[in-house]
Order: sequence, then structure tokens, then C-alpha cells
Amino acid sequence: MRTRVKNHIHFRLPEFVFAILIALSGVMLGFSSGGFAINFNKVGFTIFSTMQSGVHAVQQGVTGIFANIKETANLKKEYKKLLESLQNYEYLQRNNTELRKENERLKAQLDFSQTLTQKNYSAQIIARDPNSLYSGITINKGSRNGIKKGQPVIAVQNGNVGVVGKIVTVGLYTSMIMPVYDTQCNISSRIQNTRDIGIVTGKGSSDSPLSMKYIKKRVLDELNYGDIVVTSGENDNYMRDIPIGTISKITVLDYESSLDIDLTPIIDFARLETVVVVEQTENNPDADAEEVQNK
Amino acid sequence: MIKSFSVSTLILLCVTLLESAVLANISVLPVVPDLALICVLYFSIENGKLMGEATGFVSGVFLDFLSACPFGLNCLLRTIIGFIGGIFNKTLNTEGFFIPALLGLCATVLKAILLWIISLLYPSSVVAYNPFTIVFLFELLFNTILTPFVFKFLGLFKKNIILKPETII
Repeated sequence: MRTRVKNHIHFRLPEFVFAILIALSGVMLGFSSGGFAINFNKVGFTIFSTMQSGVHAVQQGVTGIFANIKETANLKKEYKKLLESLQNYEYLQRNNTELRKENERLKAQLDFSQTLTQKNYSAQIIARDPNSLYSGITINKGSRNGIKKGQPVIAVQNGNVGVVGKIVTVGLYTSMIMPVYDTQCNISSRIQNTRDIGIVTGKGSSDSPLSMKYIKKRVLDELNYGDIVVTSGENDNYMRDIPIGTISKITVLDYESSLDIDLTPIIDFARLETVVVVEQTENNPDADAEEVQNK
Repeated sequence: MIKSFSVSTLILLCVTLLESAVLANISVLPVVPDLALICVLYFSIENGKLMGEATGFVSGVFLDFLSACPFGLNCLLRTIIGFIGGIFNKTLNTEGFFIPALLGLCATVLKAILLWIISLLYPSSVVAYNPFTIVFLFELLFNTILTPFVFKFLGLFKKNIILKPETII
């Protein structure tokens, strides 16, 4: 009888491995939202994002080589044309304009980073989230450079300063930012003119507007399209008065006591290349030196 | 089997890095096509359940490391897809255009359904697709169109990837 029962039980390898892998995935998923002693995500992120950084460098290198080859060929052509009609001058002028623009962009960022009272680190975006439902942005600075989890990230774009997001994962040489348009990003914020406080959350896509909640209906008359929404500085998550976006749509819902406000982010994430990570607890030595000089 | 698994893992690593460091930076693309999913689909249909679930798990680990999603989500999702793909070993053809395209479409829909089920189990941290958004529809379109081409490309490594029929589990 016992033998018969035994014969009915079959352990097939694929199903056995499947069950183990499913259990392992489930446990990892469970741990990732809690605080397990070993942060698998951090360890893996360090390893793989370093590789990612390598691929980015190779890609930049290869692109650079092709760009250089192309540019050399162009220069040769331009030189020949110069002998005929001095067209090379136009090419140089064009090149010069591009360099000037890049220079202006970098100078704006440098000036801004020097004027910030908090210590800060400039970083370059090297990769974005491959998963369309999540929106992590990977930068080329990690714990070795002083980056810590939870630090706010801002950027300067066309002379405007805006909130980018905050650091959620830190590797040795790379870190991941959760941008403001992520559905899990909540920022305590104020309408700059009226000083009303609310919460700004993302809708998951950089193309979608941000959403501002908990603004009372009674302030509706004081609000205008284009009004700037800034960080409130409460909870110490972000510094005070950093612009997040401008009001683009106000919806009044009868069944709710607060307004539903859409914001256009200050930062154009499709064009964002460099960011500034801020260490709120330490002062900026450059800003301190400038202050002493002024005195 | 070890050689096949190693080559598959290497391909998945390259594809994941390509997705995150190159394709995700192209702002013209509304979404990044899920090339890793297509590769797992190919490995599972060609090599059976065991290889399907193993490569699915590995591709999930790679993606979880490089994504802002909860760690383990992609492992769970892709292990299941790999296992289900493996059930159709020897019954589905990976050559031609229409069958692979249909497989890519089905895998993406299955991914969305599984994600929805997982989001019910982990409601605070897992986000499910809204099937009527541009994000999902574009991913569906990209995956459907790209699957035949990715299968063709993986066919170049057939010697190193595909297991002998007697070793398939």
C-alpha cells in the first residue's frame, strides 16, 4: 500500500526548480519593501550599474570615434571649399556657436552649484529605467563621491532651477534617482504666491503633467495658470522654495473638498543631461568662501 | 546544458544593458521594447521549461538591479513567463514572421496580466499596466513587431543556445 502511494508522487525537475525560483522571487520582492539586513538590490545595483556605466562609456567612445571621423571628413571637405569660397568660416562659426551654448549651459550649472549654500555634487545622467512602468534615472556618481540615499536632486535648465527628484539607490560609482514624475514620488509643496500647502505627485511618465492635491477649494479665485509651485521644505526631504512646476490645469470636483491641479514640470526631462545632488546637512565651501570675500 | 545557459545569460546581460544604457536614453521612443522578454520567450520555446524558467529568473535579476521597481518583481514575472513558454516547447515554431509576432504579442499581454495579479498581492509597491494607455499599447506594438527579428537574430547563435532534444527537460 505504502509503495503504491510512493509511486504516485513524481518530483519533476522543471516544476521543482520553478517552485524554488518563484519562492525566491517572492521572498526577494517581500524583502525589497522591508529592511532586510543584506540589501540585495544595492549590491546588485553596484555591480550592474558599474557595467552599465562601462557600456555608456563605450557607447560614448564609439559615438565619439564616429563623430570624429565624420568631423574630419567634413573638415577636409570644408578646407577644399575654403580654397574656393572661404566656406570654412561658416563651419567654424557654427561649431563655435555649439561650443558657446555648451559652455553657457555648463557655466550656468557651475555658477548655480557655487551659489548653493549646501554642499552639492554635479552628476551626469548615464541611463534610464528600461521598465516602462518605473522611472529610475541612473547618474555617474555614487557613495564614493559622497552621494547618500534620500538626497534631493535639482537641475538648472535654460536658467531655471527645478526639482528633479531624490536619490533612492546608491551604488559605489553610480546612483539611481526617483524623478518627480514617478507615481511613488510625493513632495510637500506650496503655491508660491498664495503659500497654500499641498502634495505633488507624478503620474508615471515624463510627458504627463504632475498632480497637486490637498489645495482647498476656497483659494480657487486666487490661483492663476502659470503660478509657480515650489517645495515647502517641510520634512527636510527637499530644500525650501525650489520650483517644481507651473499650474497648467485646475479641476474642481464636486465630490471633493480640495482642487485637482495639474502642473507642468519646470524641468524638461527629455533634455536633461546633468543634475546637482544636494547634501542638505553640510555647507558648501565655495559659497562660504564667496561670502567671506564679499564681507 | 551549462554552455547553453551561459550563452543565454550572456545574451540577456547584453540585451539588458542595451535596453537601459542605450535604448532608454533615446527620448524619441515612447517606451523601451522589452527585448529581454523576447529573448526569454525564445529560450523557453526552444529549450523547454527548465531552461525557460532559469533564463527568465536570470533576466529578471538583471532588470531588477537596473530598474527602480521593487527587487524581485521582474524575477517573479519572467520566471513564470519562461515556465509557461517552456510548456510550448516542440509545439511552436520560432521561424517565419507571423507566429513569432503573435508569440511576442501574447507574451506582452501575459506579462501585463501577471503584473496585475502581482500588484494585487503587493499593492503598495507594484504598479500594473493600464491596458488603454500609450505606454502599454506602444510596448505591445514594439514587442510584436520586433519578436520575429529578435528570433532571427538569436537563430544565429542556434548552435550555442539550442539544446539537443534528448537533454531538454
